[in-house]
Amino acid sequence: MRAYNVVIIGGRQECVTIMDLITMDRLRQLQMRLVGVADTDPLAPGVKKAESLGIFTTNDYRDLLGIQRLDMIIDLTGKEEINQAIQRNKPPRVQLINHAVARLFWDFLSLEEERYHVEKDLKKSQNKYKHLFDNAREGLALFNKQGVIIECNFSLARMLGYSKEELEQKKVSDLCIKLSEELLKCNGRKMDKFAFTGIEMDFIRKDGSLLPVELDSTWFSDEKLYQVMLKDITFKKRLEDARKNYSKRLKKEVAKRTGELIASEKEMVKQRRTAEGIIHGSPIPMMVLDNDHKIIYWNKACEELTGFHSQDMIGTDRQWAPFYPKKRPVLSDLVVDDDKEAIKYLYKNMHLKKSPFIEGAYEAEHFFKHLGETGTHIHIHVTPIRDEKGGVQGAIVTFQDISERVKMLQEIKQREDFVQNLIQNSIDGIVAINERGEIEICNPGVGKILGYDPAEIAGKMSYQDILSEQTASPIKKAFYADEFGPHGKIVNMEAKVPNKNKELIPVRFSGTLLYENEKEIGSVLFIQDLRQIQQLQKEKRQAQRMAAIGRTVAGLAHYIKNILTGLQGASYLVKSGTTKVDPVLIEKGLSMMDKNIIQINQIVKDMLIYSADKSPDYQSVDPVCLMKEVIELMSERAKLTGVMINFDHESYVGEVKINKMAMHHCLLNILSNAIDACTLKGILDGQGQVNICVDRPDGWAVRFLISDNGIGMNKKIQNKLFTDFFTTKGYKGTGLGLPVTKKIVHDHGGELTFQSKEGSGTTFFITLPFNKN
Amino acid sequence: MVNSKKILIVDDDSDVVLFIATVLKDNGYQTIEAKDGLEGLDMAIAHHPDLILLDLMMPQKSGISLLNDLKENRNLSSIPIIMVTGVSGETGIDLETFFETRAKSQETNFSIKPDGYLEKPIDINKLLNLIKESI
Repeated sequence: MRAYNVVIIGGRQECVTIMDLITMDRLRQLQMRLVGVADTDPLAPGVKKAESLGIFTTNDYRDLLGIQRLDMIIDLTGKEEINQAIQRNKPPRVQLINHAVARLFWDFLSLEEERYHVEKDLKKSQNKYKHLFDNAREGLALFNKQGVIIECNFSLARMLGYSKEELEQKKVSDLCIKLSEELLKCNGRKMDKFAFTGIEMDFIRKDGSLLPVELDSTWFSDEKLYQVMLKDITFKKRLEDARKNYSKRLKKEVAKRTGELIASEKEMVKQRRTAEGIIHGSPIPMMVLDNDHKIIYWNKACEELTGFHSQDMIGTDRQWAPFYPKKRPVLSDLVVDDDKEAIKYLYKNMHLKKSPFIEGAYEAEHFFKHLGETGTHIHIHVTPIRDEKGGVQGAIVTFQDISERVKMLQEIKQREDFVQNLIQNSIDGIVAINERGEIEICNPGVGKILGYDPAEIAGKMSYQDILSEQTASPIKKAFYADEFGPHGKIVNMEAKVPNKNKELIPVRFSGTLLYENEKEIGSVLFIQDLRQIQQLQKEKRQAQRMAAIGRTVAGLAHYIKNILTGLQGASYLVKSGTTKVDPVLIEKGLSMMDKNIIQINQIVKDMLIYSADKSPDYQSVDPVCLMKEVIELMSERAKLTGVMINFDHESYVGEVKINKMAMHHCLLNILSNAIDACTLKGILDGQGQVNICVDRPDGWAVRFLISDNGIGMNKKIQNKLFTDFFTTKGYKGTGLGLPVTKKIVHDHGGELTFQSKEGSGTTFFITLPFNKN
Repeated sequence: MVNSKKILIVDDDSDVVLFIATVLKDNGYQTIEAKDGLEGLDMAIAHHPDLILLDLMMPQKSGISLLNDLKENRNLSSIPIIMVTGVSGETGIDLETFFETRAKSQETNFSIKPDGYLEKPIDINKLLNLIKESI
């Protein structure tokens, strides 16, 4: 069959469309062949296209009418006159299709084309969908309104553990409760609303376990089917949980870290403030250097010590200025530089020490003559400031004015030397022992007293060796007893210690236990040689006696003068009486002479007793009898002066061992004084009275009590009562009566006491002990 | 008797009084006697003697106390007083020194001093010369 040849008159857009339809491969079956295109405009799109396809073109449609084997003319001009002209001029068997017919024709062709395409696309899309459906990773299923699964893909079957065939025909309600509920809710109505996206729910696997899924659903109203798409979100869920946990933990951690950071920053600020406060307010002079040798702190105490103000120092490297006349590196500079060699070299003469507490810190001491008015002893302590890597970032320096301490140490040294000197040169022996009983100090005095060479003692002799066993142990006891001073002390304990030659040396011990923190750490013992002291005491007694003799001689001279005056007077009276032949005067003179002789006798007797140095000659005497004898002797004188004597005594006093003559003298003397004291009273009104009593108080052998109601004594007289040659009796007293009495009573180991009140009398007591012999 | 001057002897030692009185009477003086300071003052006021011989140490009222009283009494202050005493240079102090020292110490009214001093044992010639000089 031959092709159907067609020409087109009119080259506008419609022409192009028809050309496309005719030349389309699929319409080749129409067997139409375009053989020419005409238009008056050579640039019309139909003309252009035809030229590009190698189809004949012309600007005069009549050219087309003559084409051989032409079958059809398509007139697209739409102009009636052109259509009629073609109608008239075309060959008769050539079909003319006008504009309206051509339009129908191409519309039909276009629809056909479109249908083809749609079918093709549908097919393609169905395939694609099928492919997608079958091979999608998501689980897909289609089910009907009753919830029966019509179709499902492999993924879904795999997800739920069924085979594809098993799963198709299963009901949704067997697989997912929630989805089933949703379906029920819709109950066949408003199915178009049955569309979810991303709803999470659990599907039941074949083995009964749950599968978490994310579900999208669509309602296909045409097919009356649901499509669901399930995404296995087990991993996602797990991931989510993990993420949730992680984020929770992260949040917590962040919060914690933030808190810590804030706290640590606060702490740092606080520490910084504290450090600054400490440095600034510290009474210890301090400065701080940074790693650039610049002063960053220079506190008040430092200002006071150096006289340099912080505002002049901070930010500079003039840390040397207070100490040296010109710039040089100071210890802190060297510590900041970590220059150990230079530290050693520059500070070797300044008592340099590494700090025992802080790594890299140094201490030094030096006398800085430029610091202060007369120079100052300073102790320097430099501590490096390190960063976390151990690098030196600066240095803290403290200064301490140790001038006082140095002075004190010097003083202590001097004092120690002094004490040492004292110990070494002391006449007294000094022995110090430690807690183990070893001798720590033994001065030359010990050797001297006990006859040892100091070299013999040092380190060779023990405490016991020196003091002898017999003495050492009582000394030890005495420290802990109260007999010689309080606990821990010995005060004046006298003993005899054998010396090197076994001679007993009288010594006096004093000592004290030494304590440190209430713990006994030893003792010191002082040994005083009593030989010399005893000698001195003897000499003193002798000197006292010599002085007494001196006073005695003076007193005696006075007394003798009185006697001499008496004798002189007596002699004159005798002479005068003889001249005048006056026997009365002669008698008076002679009596005066006798009286003075008696007085000489009396004083000689007193003197003998008083100066006697021998022990009393004791004999057993009944004190009551002795007292009676004395009263008897004085009774005549008492009667003459009008003084009454009353005597009373305990019924039994018993004999006592006394020197009878001496005690007789005492009692006579005191009774005589008593009578003298109340003589005036006795003469004037006869009221003079002396009461005598002999008794035996507890612990004593006997007591004599002689009491008068006489003139008494004022304090002044009382104070001088026992002074040698003191008398209130003018020429009549020797001034030796009471001193002699006292001496006798003391020789007996007794006491002589008195009570007196001026104007009302005096009482004397002689109390004697049991004589031990 | 040519000499009728009246002399007061004040001494607690009756033997001394007897001795001095005998000496003075033998030499033509009248004597009156007192045994202590109190009595001495009474006698001086009552008899207004021409001279007083005064013992230093006496009970009741001492010689010095009486001396002060007499010298402070306007009526009696003109009577010459001779102090008699056993205290002497041998005991380390004598009366003259005592009064000089007391005057220098400038205590109240202590410029008072006796007109003569006589030591025991009594030198009779010295006693008589002193009395002659003083009256």
